[in-house]
Amino acid sequence: MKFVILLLSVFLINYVHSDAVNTNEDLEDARLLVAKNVLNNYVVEGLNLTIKYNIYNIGNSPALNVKLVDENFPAEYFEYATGFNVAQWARIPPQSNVTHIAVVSPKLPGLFNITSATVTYLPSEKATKVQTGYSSELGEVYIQRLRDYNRRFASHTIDWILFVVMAAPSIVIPYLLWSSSNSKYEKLEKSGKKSN
Amino acid sequence: MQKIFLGLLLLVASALGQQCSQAKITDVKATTSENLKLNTETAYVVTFKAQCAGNARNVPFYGEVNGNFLASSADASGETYEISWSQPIEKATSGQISVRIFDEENYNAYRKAQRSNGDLSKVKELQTVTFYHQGSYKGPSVQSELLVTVLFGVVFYFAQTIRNKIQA
Repeated sequence: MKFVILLLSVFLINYVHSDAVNTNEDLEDARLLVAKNVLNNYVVEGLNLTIKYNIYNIGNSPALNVKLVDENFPAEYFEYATGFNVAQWARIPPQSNVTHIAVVSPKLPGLFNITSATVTYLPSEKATKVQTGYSSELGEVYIQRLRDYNRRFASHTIDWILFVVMAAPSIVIPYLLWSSSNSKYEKLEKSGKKSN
Repeated sequence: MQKIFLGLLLLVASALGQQCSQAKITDVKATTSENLKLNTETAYVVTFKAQCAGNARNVPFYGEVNGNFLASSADASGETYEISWSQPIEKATSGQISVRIFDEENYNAYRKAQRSNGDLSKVKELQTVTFYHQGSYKGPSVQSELLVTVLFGVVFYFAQTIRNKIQA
């Protein structure tokens, strides 16, 4: 059940603005692009799932009151180890980016849909209308059972020690039998030579 | 154009006016991800609480790591902050990592000193957070299955030499 998440292949960045965009230089107001990525090869029940949010301001004025809300990891299915489900920035300067990392651990195995996070902001200080945008999304991932993951990736040292212990009798017992009879015949041979 | 733009920036900064004077930083926690098989990148997360005079919330803090500045994000309450970044696993070597936390005022002072080649040591950070990154765990250097194969190879060789001796 290998599930590899290709980090950048799913880099579908949704444009945040509904207006027609010509070039970046035309953007007088702030415009945010949000990428949501999973920094995991595997998603496993009870183990850390690292989510990274990158927010780029491609506009030419700062974005104000930026609020990133991700309702994707509800408390009944996920536990936040670190990071926030609501992250705020008072302002994001133009032509710059900020990151936020959240680490969650899934409580249950199974298919899970990783959807987009929502970002709201004021595109300029004159703006009164709050802009809403959505991050990229990853789609469905399979949360592996911890047992399955360990079966594949744990070091199995104890398993191998047990294997050696179990295999030992079938090697050691014939060896002991052989060596005892061997030493007996060697003694006989020696005493036979002496008596001659 | 640029001057207007800078002026606008300053205006916005002053208009917002959210600055944290006499910041008190508490509850500093630093975590890194260390599982090589599980993660594609090593994530570093520093979280802390900050109390400001006048109960200012959601103010910007900046973390300096190896000369790069990272802006902090605040949680819903605006009291807990996070500074985070990630690195490809090959580049995330083990060792001591220190993050210097600046407030906006000191950050601007630092930037100004940088631009004018001024004395950077004069600009004081609020706090330095140091933590140890163990490096990503790659598992034991010798695989247990290899060890067992070698062991049984030795046993087989031993048995075979004795057998050859008897049959000769």
